[in-house]
Amino acid sequence: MTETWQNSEIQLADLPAVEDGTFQHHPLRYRKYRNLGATLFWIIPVLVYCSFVIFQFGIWAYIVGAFLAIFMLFSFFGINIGYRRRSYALREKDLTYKKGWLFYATTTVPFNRIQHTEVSQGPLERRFKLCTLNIYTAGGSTSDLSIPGLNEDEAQQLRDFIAKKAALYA
Amino acid sequence: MPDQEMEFDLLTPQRQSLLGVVVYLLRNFRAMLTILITFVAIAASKPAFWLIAGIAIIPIAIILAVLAYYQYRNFTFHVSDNELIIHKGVFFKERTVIGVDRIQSIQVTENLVQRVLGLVALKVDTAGSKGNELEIPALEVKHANALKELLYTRKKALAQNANLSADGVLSDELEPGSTKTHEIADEDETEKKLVHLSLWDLIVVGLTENHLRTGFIAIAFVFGTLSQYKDVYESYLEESVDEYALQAANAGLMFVLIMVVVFVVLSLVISIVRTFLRFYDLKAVLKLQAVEIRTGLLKRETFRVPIRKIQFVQWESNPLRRAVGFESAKIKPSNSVGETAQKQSIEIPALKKEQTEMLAQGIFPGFHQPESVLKGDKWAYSRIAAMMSTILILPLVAALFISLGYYALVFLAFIPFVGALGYYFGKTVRIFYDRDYILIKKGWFFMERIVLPSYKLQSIALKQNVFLKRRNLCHLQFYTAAGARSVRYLNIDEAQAIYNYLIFCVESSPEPWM
Repeated sequence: MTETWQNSEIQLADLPAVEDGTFQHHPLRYRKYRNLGATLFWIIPVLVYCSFVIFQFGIWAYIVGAFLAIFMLFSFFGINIGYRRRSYALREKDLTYKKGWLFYATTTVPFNRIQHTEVSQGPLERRFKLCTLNIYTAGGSTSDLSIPGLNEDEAQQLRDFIAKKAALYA
Repeated sequence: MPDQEMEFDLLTPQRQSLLGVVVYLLRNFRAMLTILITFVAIAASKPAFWLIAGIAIIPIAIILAVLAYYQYRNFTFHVSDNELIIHKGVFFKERTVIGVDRIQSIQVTENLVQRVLGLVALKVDTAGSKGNELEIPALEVKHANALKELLYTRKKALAQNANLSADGVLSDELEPGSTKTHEIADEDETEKKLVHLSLWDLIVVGLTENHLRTGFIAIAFVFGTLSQYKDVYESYLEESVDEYALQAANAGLMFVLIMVVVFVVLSLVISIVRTFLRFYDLKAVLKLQAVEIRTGLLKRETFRVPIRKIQFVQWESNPLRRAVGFESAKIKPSNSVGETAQKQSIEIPALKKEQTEMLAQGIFPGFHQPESVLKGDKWAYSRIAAMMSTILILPLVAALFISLGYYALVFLAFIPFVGALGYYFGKTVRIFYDRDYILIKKGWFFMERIVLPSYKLQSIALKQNVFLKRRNLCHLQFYTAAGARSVRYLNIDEAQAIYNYLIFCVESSPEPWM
């Protein structure tokens, strides 16, 4: 069918490498938003803990308190240290997202495998003028990519670009 | 084939087999049963309830029977203009129309009742959300097959027409009718029998199951039952501890021995029963465009998996299976929306070497082991295994040290032993890859082999943590439409190279993954 069929040799070293791409970081607002979100989340457990401690104090108070402190520490460390790693790279044919604080993950989704894309915005995100871009593949929920902390117009542009690319293959 | 269509017209609305009334009646009874049980639970203590129930049972039975008859009567189905049309409902009439192009798969199944009546159910899966599948519950076997064939033929013809008109050039040269018959003849010719399990095969499969797994299920069962008699044997043991310490020790040993025997026998029995239920009279047929498997004792099911829907195939074996020359294969088609990956996995438990080769070639034409290879870091596997066993064994040794003294230290020998096991496992972990296929091999005791066409990947992830980073290691995770598979402890530079290469393969592949 195609006259210009070629099958030239591919050198592994010559392929464009994902890690060489320019990775775009999230705006600083995203960190603030996550910190505020975590603070709101932890208020209730801490209040419950405090009210119990006032009524009855014992050895368990130390244990539960220690656990609570560790969990809180972890969640805030995760947000603030992990923020530095969270970044995405857009290429002609795929999208890569890096994240993680103790456990790092780099995920790449080729555009020709994308089922659909959507932009979502929660109430707290609206306050900070941030958006989340969700990308769905047929690989199930574990392989779906969700990129939070995008500027509103940036998210919309990204979505339009990806949807246009994905439509070429559908 | 034409004879069947003559006597069974699929193009005008048809009822199911009259015996379908029985199927519906039993369904209605089953639906009533839950209501009945709640009633009994609430009102059983009152004698008046039994009187009312006794009188009411006759009218209820009549109502259910009449309902079943009308359910049968009002259920009609036919095919018209590339659509399957179903009318049904007694109080609320319902009309369902499914375009043949939206049909994903058609299954013919039968449960015990249907089996006794000589009927089958035809289930039509469609693309789209969960619960969107359609069932015709009471058909005679040949009618079900005729309907299934008709739907597939229509679907194929439609797809072909769409292709031809898309190409534009060819549509004038070929009449749709002629291509259709040609296509069917083609498929009949290339139908190859892959495997048909005999009774002996089934026994062998049952005996060579992974007994460790079934055995543990058995143990849970045994302890569940034994705990009822706990008081009896516990009091016996307690009594003897003081005066007959030696006897007690013997009794304990006997108990352990009996437990081992029970473990072995039970797990064997369970394995064989399970094998018979699942794989009785399993027939697998390789067609040009699909794999068809028919299996089961009480619930007989037919799976028809179109080859282009298969995402990967996983071969497994254990030392027992290898000794008798068998290997099992799990075929993983893409999940339709809302379905779990587990439910869709289709297994052939016993394949000889040449049958394995035939299956591989049938599903992945021209498959051979790719040349490029990436090996797991065996020392990393060894380290992790040793570390894990240390965490488990150290507390044990500490506890035993109190009672046994220095003899407890013998248990420390387990740590290097487990470490060595980890090393030998790590040695077997390899990814073979090229432009067309990825082949993952793992294990020396329980061997596992996965063949996955490169272009069927949905996305790839590279995972790492702080400890792995220090050692320049990482995990690779391959996502497909039939679930994810990962390979652990790879060198980061090599893994990144294969990561980039596979992304390139996916992006440059013109083939549709589904």
